[in-house]
Amino acid sequence: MSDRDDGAVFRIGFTVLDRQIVDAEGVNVAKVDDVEFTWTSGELPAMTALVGDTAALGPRIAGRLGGFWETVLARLRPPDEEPTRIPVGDVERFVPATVLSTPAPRGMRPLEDWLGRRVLARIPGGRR
Amino acid sequence: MLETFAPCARAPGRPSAATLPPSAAPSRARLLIRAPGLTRAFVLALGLVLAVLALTGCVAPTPTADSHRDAAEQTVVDLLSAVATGILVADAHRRDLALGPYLETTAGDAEEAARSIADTFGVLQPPTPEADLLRARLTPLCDDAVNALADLRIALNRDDAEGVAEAARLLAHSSDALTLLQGELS
Amino acid sequence: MRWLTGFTLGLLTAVGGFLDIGDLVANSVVGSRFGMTLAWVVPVGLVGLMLFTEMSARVTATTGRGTFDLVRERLGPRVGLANLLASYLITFLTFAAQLGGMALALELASGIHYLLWVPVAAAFVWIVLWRLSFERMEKTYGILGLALVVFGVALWMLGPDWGVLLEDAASFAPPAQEGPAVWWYYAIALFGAAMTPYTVLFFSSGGVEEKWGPRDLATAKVNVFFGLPLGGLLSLCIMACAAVVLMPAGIQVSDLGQVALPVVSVLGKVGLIVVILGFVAATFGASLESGLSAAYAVSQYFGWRWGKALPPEKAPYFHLVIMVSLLAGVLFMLTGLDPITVTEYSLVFSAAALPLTYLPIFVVANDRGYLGDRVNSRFTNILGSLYLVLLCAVSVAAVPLMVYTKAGQ
Repeated sequence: MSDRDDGAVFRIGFTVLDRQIVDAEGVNVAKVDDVEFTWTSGELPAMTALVGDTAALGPRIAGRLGGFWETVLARLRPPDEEPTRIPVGDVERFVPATVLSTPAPRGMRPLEDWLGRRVLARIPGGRR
Repeated sequence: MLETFAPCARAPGRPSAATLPPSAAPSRARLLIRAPGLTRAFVLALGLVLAVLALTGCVAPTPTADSHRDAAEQTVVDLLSAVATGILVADAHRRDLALGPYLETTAGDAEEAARSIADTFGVLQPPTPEADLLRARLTPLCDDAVNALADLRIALNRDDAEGVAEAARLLAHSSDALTLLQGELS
Repeated sequence: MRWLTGFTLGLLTAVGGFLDIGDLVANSVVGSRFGMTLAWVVPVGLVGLMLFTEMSARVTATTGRGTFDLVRERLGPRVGLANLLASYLITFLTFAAQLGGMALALELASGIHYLLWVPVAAAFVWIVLWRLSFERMEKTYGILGLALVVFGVALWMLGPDWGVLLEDAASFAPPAQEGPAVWWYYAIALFGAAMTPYTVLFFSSGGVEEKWGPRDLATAKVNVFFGLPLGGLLSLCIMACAAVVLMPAGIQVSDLGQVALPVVSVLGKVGLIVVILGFVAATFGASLESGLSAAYAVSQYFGWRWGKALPPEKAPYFHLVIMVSLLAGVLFMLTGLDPITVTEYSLVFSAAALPLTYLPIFVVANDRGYLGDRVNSRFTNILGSLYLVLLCAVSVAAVPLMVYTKAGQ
């Protein structure tokens, strides 16, 4: 499938997937694990968001292992939490890394942030 | 009507067309249809080979006269290495070339190694009367080497120069006897 | 003038940081059992290491990204995951071996049993990884690691018959008392020690930490082309010392204390202190590097925030991987497995996994999309392809030889 942006044609497999998403301040956000398309009736499907959710990586790895991966990680996620997604509108460019025009959306990685705030910051030298 | 079309919602294991460059999609799909059976067979075969390898490793080989002799030869070589280490350590102590902790640790390591070598040979079942004779000759040599190294370690611990010299003499004697046996075995 | 000191420092760091417990053990064991007949393996491994380290440095300086970052991008998540699993397991094994080596070196210095030193060493490694800046960390263990030059000094003072040593080195056949299977097995182990996978991983991620740009590429190249060979020369000195002192005595190295014997015999107490300092510095440096490499690999695959440049609370998963790896490493060594044995196994398994580590680098370094005009030259590609064939051959032979020779007996 291809997408058009200023007439440039690119392939998701190479240009988008597995790229590192970096926010406007240069901080790593996630890898593009999957891509979200929206299909309005009467129009072609369009890429609407990048999914940086490690669980979504599952099916792309291998059949059984991948499905298992996805199920386990999906179960570990709190029920009302959305998978991490970045609207395509926020993307400034795709290569060589996917750079966003905005700082990383808050709450994208709640467990990691909690770990940083509550555990690592408490150890002396953690905030340096 | 807006439908959010998330490719990952598809059946796991089948790559969605969106994640593949178009040219690769058809051949990939064909390979995948055959892949589950192939992969399973391959994994089973690999598992079988590994199991066979592991089992042949685990089961102790039937002792033959040759393998017993080889084990004896290896024992002699390894013991000579430990004894020679002890001799060099004793020499270093005599010439005041090194510090206490280093000498003690190195001598202790040599002693441990010798003990382990002697034990490994000791548990072997001699298959023939010749092997019995070999064992009868080698076992006291093993004990002598281990004891001499132990004496060395103890003397080094106490910084006892005479004790170290005596241990060095025992080690030299042990080395000579082992070298003699090595000559006969090879 | 400042440029010159910076350059010298980098060079010295490369030399001092080259050797680790794998090199110490492999070179010493080989020298004591096979004399100099396996000396040829060191330059062969060295050339391969220089080749791929240069590629990796070029990729980092041009793209500003680490190796693993690009592996998943270029080769897909499946291959990337296979690469990650193999790399992590082997780097972990190496990491545990380095911790064990550090504990052994401290035992030689103190007489206190090495198992008691394992947690202490790990704690020290963790503190440095937690607090010390990247550059300062590198320079400290790099300079201290230069203490191992004492092996060169000892060799010189032993006054060996250089003719005999060279003859041995050129003979390309095992000595009379050893068989060909064991000879090739140790050749592979020595090769694995020279081409340690974690070195390249660390080097490229370190380049990102230090924010290399195209200007730093020249310095990096000098470090690679001068620093690494000097490190290789040190390896050969260790081998030669063992060949000259230990082999005639019939000593086959199985403990770290024996590695130092040649130095002690000719340089006495001063030599002993310097060599133990060198052991501690080398294993300490390698612990830091392999621990960081493991964390770099995992973080870069998953796209997490990583790096020593960030305060720990800003890169939580990265530091979590370090802590978990440290804990697992300590527990692994506390089972009482002989660190020398663990080292030897880590070398053979490293050798077995070499293609998996180096092939992705080769692919990325040829990609015009990342490097533009700085892709591999034809010469680099030819040499690189030859090496990849060699790596595959080594990889295929490694484990069967290990089983056949019962790990080198």
